[in-house]
Amino acid sequence: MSGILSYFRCRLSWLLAGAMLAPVVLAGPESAASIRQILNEMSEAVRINNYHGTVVFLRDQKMEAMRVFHGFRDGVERERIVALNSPMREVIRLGEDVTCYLPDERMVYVSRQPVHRSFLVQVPEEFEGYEQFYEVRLAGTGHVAQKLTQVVELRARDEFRYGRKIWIDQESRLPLRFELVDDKGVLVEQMMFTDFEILRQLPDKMLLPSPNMELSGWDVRNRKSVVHVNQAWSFDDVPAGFVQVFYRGSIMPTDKQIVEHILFSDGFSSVSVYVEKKGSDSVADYQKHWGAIHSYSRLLDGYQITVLGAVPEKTVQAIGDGVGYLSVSNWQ
Amino acid sequence: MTKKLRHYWIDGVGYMQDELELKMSMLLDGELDPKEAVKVLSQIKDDTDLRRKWLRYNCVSSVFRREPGYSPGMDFFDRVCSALDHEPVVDFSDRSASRTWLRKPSFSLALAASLAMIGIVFWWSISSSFNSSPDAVSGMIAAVQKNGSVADGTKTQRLATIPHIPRRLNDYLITHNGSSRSGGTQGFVPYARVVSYSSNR
Repeated sequence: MSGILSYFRCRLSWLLAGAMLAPVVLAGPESAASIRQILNEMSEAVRINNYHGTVVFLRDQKMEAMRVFHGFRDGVERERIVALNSPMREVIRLGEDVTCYLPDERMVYVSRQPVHRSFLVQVPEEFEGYEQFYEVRLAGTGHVAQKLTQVVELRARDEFRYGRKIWIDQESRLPLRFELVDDKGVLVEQMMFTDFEILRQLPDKMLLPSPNMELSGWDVRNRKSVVHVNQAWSFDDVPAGFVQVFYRGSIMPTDKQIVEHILFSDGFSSVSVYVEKKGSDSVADYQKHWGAIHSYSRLLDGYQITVLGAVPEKTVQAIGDGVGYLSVSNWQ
Repeated sequence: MTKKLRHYWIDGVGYMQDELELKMSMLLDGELDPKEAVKVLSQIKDDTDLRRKWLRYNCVSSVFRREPGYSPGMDFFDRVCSALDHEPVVDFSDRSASRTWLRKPSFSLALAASLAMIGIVFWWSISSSFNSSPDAVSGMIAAVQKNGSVADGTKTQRLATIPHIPRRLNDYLITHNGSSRSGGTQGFVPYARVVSYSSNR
């Protein structure tokens, strides 16, 4: 069964809940402080609410549909995202434990990710200081999934980051629609809830993997981190606003190779730098993009450098070209 | 505004509208046996509303299977929002099973509705490229009868040629989208990218 059309077998009644919620219109002067408050409330809402919904994701003129389930209990976030397009991939997160089910490859990625932040869209923990890189403003209201939303627009002040628009439900403060825009104003990625529902509590069964994720005969890959001694690389041309978040080593599940992983973030966008010893399949000056994601790979003194993130091409290229060699990597 | 359910008759058997829609969906999923498929297609052929619905189902199927020529425009979301705002509320008050139905988790209903709406909007965009005539449906019937298979006559084909991403880059991609939450930048979108990577491979 394809999984999509079978849902049409259910009868239509999704508007019953939608018609019951009255909109709350924002009032008061538009100011950076009030917008920060909206964004902070959104950040909190996506973390502590129990909800589920259907999300449509559009990039490169291709549409994906997925179900999103999010729960919060005893201070722990739990979420599950299920692709409705074949091959029906799934991601389940319970606190810091993330499991990616890839039935098309009969593979499971298991990893532990320290997370302390919110869910749904890319937002920083604190919004102070981001105005120097983004012009933040209210951009009117609009309906998404039959809910009245406040639109918050963040225009990038330079070409090293995408601008974005977020449609925030005025009642629940959940972000119901999200757009990434490049420096030419072209939409590079969109996502939108076509329906959603807030629950008092998310049933545990909604967070279980689908029955077809049987794992029998699947390749289960645990992505492990290793303790680092020192960072062997310098970064000279990181665009302003991007700061290093962490530096760590990961053992790649495919060949057990240790890969150094450095993460940069400007609060809204993240860029990863991966460094590993040059191998037979290493590539020089390799660039690729899909949707909002750009990657750039180059060789440096026997190492493969790959920079990847949901940022413009020139950002990954600037960071990649600015990588310098400090000392021999030393992983325990 | 409410929506009234209709009855259809196939071989002397009455079907409520949603039961027939169920069979249409099964037909498109290739889950009906050829004999039943011919019955349903015959019903579709003789009913304008059903033909429209059938085309819409085909359209949704094509969009989500990423077939060539079925790309939504960048204003697609605006059109979906607008269409949703004008949708009627479905009235189940006259259905004997309605109370049981309404006690069920509503997510499947909402999913059906929102995907249906996507299909409607997309169908508006490209319906002129479809041949919705009874003759076209007759051709599907003939194909099912000739091949003895539903899939050959009605089911759409999946896009076969997809750009390849090097294996390592895929590892990086998944790692990045998982770990970038640590940068305080994350949430749903990275995981959405993970579950949708298949179209890149």
